Amino acid sequence: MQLPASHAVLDFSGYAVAVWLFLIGLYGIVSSRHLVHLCLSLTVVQASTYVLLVIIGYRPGLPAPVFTDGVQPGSPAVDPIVQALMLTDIVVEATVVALLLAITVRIHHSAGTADPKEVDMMRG
Amino acid sequence: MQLAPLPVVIPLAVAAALAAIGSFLPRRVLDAIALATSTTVLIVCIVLTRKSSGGVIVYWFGGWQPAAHSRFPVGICFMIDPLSAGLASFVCLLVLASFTFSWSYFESVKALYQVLMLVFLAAMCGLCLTGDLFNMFVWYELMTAAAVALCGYESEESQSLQGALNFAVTNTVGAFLSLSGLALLYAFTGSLNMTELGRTLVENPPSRQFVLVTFLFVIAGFLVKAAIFPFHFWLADAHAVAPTPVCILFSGVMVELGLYAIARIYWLIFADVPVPLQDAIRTTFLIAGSATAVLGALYCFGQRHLKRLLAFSTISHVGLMLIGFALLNPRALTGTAIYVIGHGLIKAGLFIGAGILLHRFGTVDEYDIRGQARVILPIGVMMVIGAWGLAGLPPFATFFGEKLIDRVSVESHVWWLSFVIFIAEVLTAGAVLRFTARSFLGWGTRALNYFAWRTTYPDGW
Repeated sequence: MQLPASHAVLDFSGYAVAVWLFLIGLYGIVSSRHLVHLCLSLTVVQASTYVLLVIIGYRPGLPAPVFTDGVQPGSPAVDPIVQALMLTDIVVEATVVALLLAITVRIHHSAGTADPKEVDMMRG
Repeated sequence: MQLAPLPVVIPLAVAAALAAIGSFLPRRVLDAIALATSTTVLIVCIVLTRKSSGGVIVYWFGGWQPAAHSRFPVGICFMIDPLSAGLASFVCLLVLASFTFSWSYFESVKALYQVLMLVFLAAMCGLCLTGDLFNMFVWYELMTAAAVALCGYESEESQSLQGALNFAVTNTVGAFLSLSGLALLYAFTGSLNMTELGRTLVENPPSRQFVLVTFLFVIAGFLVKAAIFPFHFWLADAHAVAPTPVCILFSGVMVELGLYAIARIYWLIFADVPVPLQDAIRTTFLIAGSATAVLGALYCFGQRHLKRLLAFSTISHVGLMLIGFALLNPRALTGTAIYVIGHGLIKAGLFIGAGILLHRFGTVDEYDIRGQARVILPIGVMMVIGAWGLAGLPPFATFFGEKLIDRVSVESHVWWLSFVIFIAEVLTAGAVLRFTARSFLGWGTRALNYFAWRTTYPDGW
């Protein structure tokens, strides 16, 4: 099947978005001046893996892997495995981010600040 | 009855039950349940080790086994061989030691502690036994989550919590790199089972660049977990602040599991891929391992806070273990496995010593304790024995492991490795001896010495 050129662009742009999200999230983590901002930067990094997984399973022009009326079971569809992986990924990372936010609340409670640099200074 | 899933099922089920009804149970009952659970899992793992020596046990969850050449090759399996089951048994042994120690270490403890420890146990066993790459990532993340929660357990100090936070963020970013790598591998092969991945890569080998990039991505998360230079900065903070029974597990086996995962991924997936890969991996990891070993040892010698000192010593010894892996030789790997066991037991003993000092004097700073610890001299004797083991002298397992690694490195004409191993062992053992002499015998100066300039946070490395 001859694909229109726009599919190739879409294919490439998905990977580019994943790389961009990873880098910008990492920059956010490194330069963060507030722990909540740091946790949210981590979710941005995490979003890059969602995009990567979905773009890997994407097949141009094929339907979602929901085999109800109109779509025969076994007929070609977008890869459901990576979507399952992505769901697992979301669950796992939701746990980690919840844990981090809980720790942030307690740091703010005991240190009176949520700026990583100031928390560091109180220790040193 | 199928034993294979039990090392994960038992602790998770008990943890769930304790989370539900634990607050109604008295503390000693909770402790007893935790001890009984870890003993049971230990027995199961030992039986699995014995059984698997006759051949690899493969257990498919839910009976969902991929048919050969099917269009939908999905299924999650445990792949149990003597090495993985043996390591899982070792995990159980250390968890058992840790529960025994926390019986009298914590003055008061809530059910949450036992729940988290059991989840931690399940995650570590799962990581050892799994034969599926994505499943490995999930266990890795579960292990991190449980470890972080334990690290900040019952602490209202911002210092302790900041250590836990650094730990979580660095390990999670590493995990995302691993996930990206395994997504790329899946895109190429259409499989997540490690054996299947290896077979596919051998049958249609990809380009060398693809193999190198995916390999480095996949192992990145585990390199962070193993605290290999330059990813080691989180470990000392996490160790310094975590409760002592948890430190036993962090140093004794969690960090080593990172290396185990790298070794397993390499040997199952990448070892037979017909592209020239070995030289690059050997050189890179020998250098990274040596740098980790030497730098860790130097920082270890510069500490006066015992838990921090032991944490840096762990970094140094993990560097030695990475060298054992990087030789890419079955005998060196055997040596590394022996070394892991020996090191884990010695570190458990030393951390228990640190816990006793902390419990008794409220500090583990050698200048603060100076000579006072004379009243508990047997602990000092134990620490000298520990230093003896860290130095890799007979009759400790570290000696035999180190000798195997050393011999293979001489055979592979990497003569300078002997010096690296020597420096790492002398400095880490020397640091423990110096601490023992000053705090138990009152030797040495009262004033700060030259090496003690890095005392508290921030010591970045």
